[in-house]
Amino acid sequence: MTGILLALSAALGFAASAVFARVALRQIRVTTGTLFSLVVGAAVVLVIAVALHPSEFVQIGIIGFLWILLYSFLNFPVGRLFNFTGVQLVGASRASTIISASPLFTMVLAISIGGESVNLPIVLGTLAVIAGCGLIVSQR
Amino acid sequence: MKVWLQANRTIVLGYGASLISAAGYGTGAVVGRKIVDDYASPLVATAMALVLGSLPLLLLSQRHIANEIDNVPRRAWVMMALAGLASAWGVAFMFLAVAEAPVVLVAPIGGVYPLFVIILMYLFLKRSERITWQTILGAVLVVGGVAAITVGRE
Repeated sequence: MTGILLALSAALGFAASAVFARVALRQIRVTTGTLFSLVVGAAVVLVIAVALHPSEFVQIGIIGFLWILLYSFLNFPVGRLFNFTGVQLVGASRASTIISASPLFTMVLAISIGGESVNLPIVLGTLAVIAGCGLIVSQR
Repeated sequence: MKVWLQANRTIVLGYGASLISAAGYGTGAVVGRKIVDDYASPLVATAMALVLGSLPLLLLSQRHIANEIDNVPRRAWVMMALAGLASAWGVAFMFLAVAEAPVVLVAPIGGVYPLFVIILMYLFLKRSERITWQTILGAVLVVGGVAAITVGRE
């Protein structure tokens, strides 16, 4: 039960982020807004991370750092910047729904590179995601 | 086709940007899994990624920052700060949830956030966005589909 409540709290956080961004992006450029949201988030997460795992930052090594660099590029200049661009152009509810289909891309990578197999829930889930995105995109 | 694209430029760009974002987050999840398995805890990886991810955006927005600091109303900055905090809240609670329950349960529940967006938009910003039955049904299909994919992969 605790896990479910925590996951619902996470979902509420992601949703609130999209709604707040929708309001702010009427007056702030999307690049500046994304940067500001990242700086605020970084300040909070960095303080907690340093408090809980102070020694880990120096133990990561060059290869680990390069992986984190790639992760940061995919999640922030790509993920969040385009997320906020979508929110600004088509609205929070439509953009968030399309963006929430991201596990589809994870699955494609897991199957094509990771060698994972396809089963019935994956096929049905993929069809549902495509149908849902199609329904949203087809709106006038 | 060209005329249609020009007439619907904003919509095409908006959906295109959303798809690119989904691809970024989806690919990032694979890379994130590798990092958490081999190199760092989720919290430290996220903290470093947030700092590193800010740098290219600083380059992209440097020409406009000074002007925007002077001209953008304080309310917009507060809203964007809340967006950043809410997102950090989401990431932190997702990590806590994964520590408490299996991913196969946590991921689909965390994935219902588009439905929360629709509810919040309806409650607080009804005039900014039209919520149609297609939006609601589309969100339900995507959330259900993502849940099925998560279950299928576990």
